[in-house]
Amino acid sequence: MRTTVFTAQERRQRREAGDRLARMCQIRLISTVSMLTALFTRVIPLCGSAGWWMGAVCMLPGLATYGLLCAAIRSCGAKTLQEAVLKKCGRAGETLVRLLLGVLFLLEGAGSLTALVTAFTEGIGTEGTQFTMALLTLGAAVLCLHRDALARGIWLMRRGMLLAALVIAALLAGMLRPDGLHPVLGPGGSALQAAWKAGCTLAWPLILLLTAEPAKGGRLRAATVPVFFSLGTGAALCLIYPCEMLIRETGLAGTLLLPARHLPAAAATAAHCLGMLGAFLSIASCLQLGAQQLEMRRRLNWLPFALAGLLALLQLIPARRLWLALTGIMQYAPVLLSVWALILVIRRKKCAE
Amino acid sequence: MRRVIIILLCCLLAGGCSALPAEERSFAVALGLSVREGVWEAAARIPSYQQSGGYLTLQARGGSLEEAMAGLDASAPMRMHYGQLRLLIFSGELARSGSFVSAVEAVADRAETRLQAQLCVTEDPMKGVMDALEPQTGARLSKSLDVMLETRREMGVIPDASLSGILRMGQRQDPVLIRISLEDEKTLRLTGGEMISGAAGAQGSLSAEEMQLLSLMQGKVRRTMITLEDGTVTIHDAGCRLSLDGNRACVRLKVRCSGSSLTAEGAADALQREVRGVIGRLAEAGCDALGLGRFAIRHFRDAAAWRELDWRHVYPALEWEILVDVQTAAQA
Repeated sequence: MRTTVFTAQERRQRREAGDRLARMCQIRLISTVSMLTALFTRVIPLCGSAGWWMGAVCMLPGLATYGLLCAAIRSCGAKTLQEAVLKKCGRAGETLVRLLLGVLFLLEGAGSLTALVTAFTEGIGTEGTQFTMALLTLGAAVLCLHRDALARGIWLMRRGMLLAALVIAALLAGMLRPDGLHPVLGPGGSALQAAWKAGCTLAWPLILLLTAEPAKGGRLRAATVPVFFSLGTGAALCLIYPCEMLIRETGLAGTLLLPARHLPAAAATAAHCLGMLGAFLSIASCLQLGAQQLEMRRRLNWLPFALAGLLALLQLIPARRLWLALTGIMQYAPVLLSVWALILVIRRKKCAE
Repeated sequence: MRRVIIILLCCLLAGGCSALPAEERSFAVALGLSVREGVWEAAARIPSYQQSGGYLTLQARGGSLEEAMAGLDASAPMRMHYGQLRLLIFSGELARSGSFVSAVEAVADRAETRLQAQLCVTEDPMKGVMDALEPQTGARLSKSLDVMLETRREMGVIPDASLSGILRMGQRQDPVLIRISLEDEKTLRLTGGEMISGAAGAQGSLSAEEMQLLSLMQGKVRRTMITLEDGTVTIHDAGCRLSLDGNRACVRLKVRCSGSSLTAEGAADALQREVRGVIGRLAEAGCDALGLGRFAIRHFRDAAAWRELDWRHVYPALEWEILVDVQTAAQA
């Protein structure tokens, strides 16, 4: 067996490339969990059988913003969004963008935590309350907040999670019916408008991919997995359940658990575990990456724990009210990122070398 | 890093689960619902959890379904749980009433209900039916019922009437439920089907042979032995294609069989006659068990337009073309 010996510099480069891959994987997980949650809880319950194409339409603004930002970052030779803002808008601009990204990561984490806790307390049915379940989840999450290990752990588990998803998809295959895609417009005109209004920022989490250096394959490849996985799952949901059943579920727990509700018990448990793992890792990643943005290039080791405490305190608010508030904010907050995208594209200030 | 993953997995597996052990729950294997003169009756068949084994029947009454179910919960020795439900039995009177659909939805809406439970209809007293539910094979009633239902479904004499399948039909298809009857005090008979027509409920029954032909048309059964008027046919392989063109429905049944008394032409004629009879019965009952609504809905842009069509009135008036192609084993 031939043994390759790397120099110290080569070893460092390989480790950095690996870390970039792991970081991309981590952010892709956050994006996928966010888009799936929004699709299941905001878009499909409103537009029913139209969800399979409405999801794609709702992704267009986010994809356009992502494209604009990619172009802007490439045009000034930066590697990340923060770097591009620093080059084009100066230190003040970079601080604002970091603040915005940090808050968006936190909101995303709060949303995933609320969804996970509600699915367990109201859906599956557990002995704990909303707050105690949140404490348990966040307590486990802070144990995982190792700077490099969390991203590497997610990267290691990616194939296992994907395999589990494929097995569950295979079990669901027997339940697919082509007439589930009909009627094409679902409940009709006003419902589609409501779905568009609720879901037009569906693809905003893709912008988070720009906060890390691109890995092998580039930014386009990084965005394809969350987009196609989310759209594929949405289409599968429409093929399995008729329109009249999709629009009947309106509660948060009901919409989250519907995909696995009709599976046999063992498969349903596997699906719940996969969803739980994905949500949990997303929450931990949002805490870590949100803290990194809010640190503003300083090293504040206590910040992730403080943010975890803040998320736990938020769970003292009743779940329904909290969910409404979070979804309301998340519908409009990413618009600010889109505005930054336009500023970066339009602004002709020469990038500093 | 490895430690983090292990802690993570331990936390996920050990945290957040319900702490109630299995021996502190009464798992209902069968649930029976009936209504007579406004009085709801719920009956459940649960293990007795005695050393000697055995099962017991709980019963409760109430002014509404919720009251009857609450009464059942109160009379159970431990907390009732429907996560192991195998049979959901409705009385004939309830199945024909306007409360049938809401009763099915009420049971399905309970978070722990096993959605793979099979829906049945009986004309016999519910207590007698419940008491006759004893394990025929093995030690557990649930396993015995699983085996019995699977065997009869493979023969095609009963439909696949799972709660999950029926809920996912929506307004595009109508279910056929399993007919369950008491042969004597201790023996139950599961054979044939009860046709359901949407909110109107049960509208008539199908015999075992009619159920076999329906199962062939639905594609649920490919191998079976059917007794027709003209003779017995052993089917080795079958396929069916349905289509809908305006007001004209077409059934193309392709069958490979062997029959001691019938030629290929004879078998094809006999099958065509019997299939037409079954389709006539379904149309008369307004039961779209073949799911032609799934074809019709593709022509509508939105749900409002589909509702305007009122498929319940269109379906019984469809013209049917039935084509049966029989290939005997010798020809093959």
